[in-house]
Amino acid sequence: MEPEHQRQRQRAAWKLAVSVHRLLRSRASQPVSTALSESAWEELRRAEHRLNFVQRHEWHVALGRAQRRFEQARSAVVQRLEHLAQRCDERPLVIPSLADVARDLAALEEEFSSVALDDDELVVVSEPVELDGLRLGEFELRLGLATASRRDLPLTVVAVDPHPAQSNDAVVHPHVSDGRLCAGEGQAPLQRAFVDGRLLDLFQIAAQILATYNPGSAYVELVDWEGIRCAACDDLVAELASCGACGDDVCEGCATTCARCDRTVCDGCSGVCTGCAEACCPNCLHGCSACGRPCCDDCLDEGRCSDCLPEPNEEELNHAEDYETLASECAASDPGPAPQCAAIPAAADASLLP
Amino acid sequence: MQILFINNDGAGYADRLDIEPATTVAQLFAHQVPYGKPADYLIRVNRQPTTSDQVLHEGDRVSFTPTKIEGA
Repeated sequence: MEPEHQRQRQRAAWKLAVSVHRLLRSRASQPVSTALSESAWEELRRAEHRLNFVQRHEWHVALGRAQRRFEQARSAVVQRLEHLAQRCDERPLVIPSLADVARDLAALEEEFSSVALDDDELVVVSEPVELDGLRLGEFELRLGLATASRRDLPLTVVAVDPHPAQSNDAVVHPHVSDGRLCAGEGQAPLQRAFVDGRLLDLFQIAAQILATYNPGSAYVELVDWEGIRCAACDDLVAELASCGACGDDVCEGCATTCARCDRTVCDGCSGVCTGCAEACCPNCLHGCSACGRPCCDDCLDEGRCSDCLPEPNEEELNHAEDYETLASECAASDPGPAPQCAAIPAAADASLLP
Repeated sequence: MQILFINNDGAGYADRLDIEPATTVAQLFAHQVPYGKPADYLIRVNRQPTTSDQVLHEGDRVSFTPTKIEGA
């Protein structure tokens, strides 16, 4: 490498180290809030005063509310104290030396394909990731350097050339969703490296998490990455529905909605009513007691399909005609409510009336 | 003599460690990670890949990072 080019690279590397070091210093200088909230304490004092007042005057009706208010205020103060104790126990953020930062960055340049500073984020690009034959490509690991938060590691993972799961665009890696790496057993050493300012270790740990597949705890399993297999047609699809009869998971094309109960069933379990020709689930189809052909409940009368119902005799026909005549006469004479079926007896006891 | 020892396994550990002079990387690994195999770790001395028979010196920075870290 030409000396001038080498000098330029060294200057650029040093400039990067200085910028990163400045950001790490700024995060360590952010004050840790240890002040107990005055408003929480004041509320507790007021609630206590109120409770004592109510008890002294024996205001029994107001006592319950005063006790509840005191309990809420007490819990709020206890919670603040516990939070304060937790903050005091935390390891302080370490400011690594400028030389250590420079060495970490130089080692990162050798281990990863790209290292750069983007605003206050240190961005490192991993080597291409391949898990069980599935190529997921390179990932940007973006670490926020200026944040002092310990609870949420400021690490974002972005696929350079996304190849997300068929069922969920946000999952670009089995352990990455919406840019968030679910670090699992890597969480503790990642946090430790972040607090200590050990940039090389932090990115190495994150890269090894990306390179490891844990089938038991993935957002989307690798077997389902390109889609989920339909139990009926064997196609790979994004979404399956469970058959309400046999429990198989089938795609939309192999599923039917029962016309009677709206349950989803697979084509193998559904049947067609010979009466109305609607698709129905096994629970809603019954065999005609005479011919055995499948019919839905709406198409069966006393267990028989319309083809198997006995022919009505002359008396039944006459009765049916009389009924139809009566119904049409009633409708013509009184378009209002239908006439009552039973008349009130004339000899009814008036004392029974309300 | 003292080295800076970093174990990125488990909960993570980074602190000064006293070791015997002429201790090799392999010996340190066997002592600190008795349950592990070196092939399952990225082992770095002063941030550089190393060999198992490399002798450690005062002030060296030694790190062990598992290659298999299961996410959730």
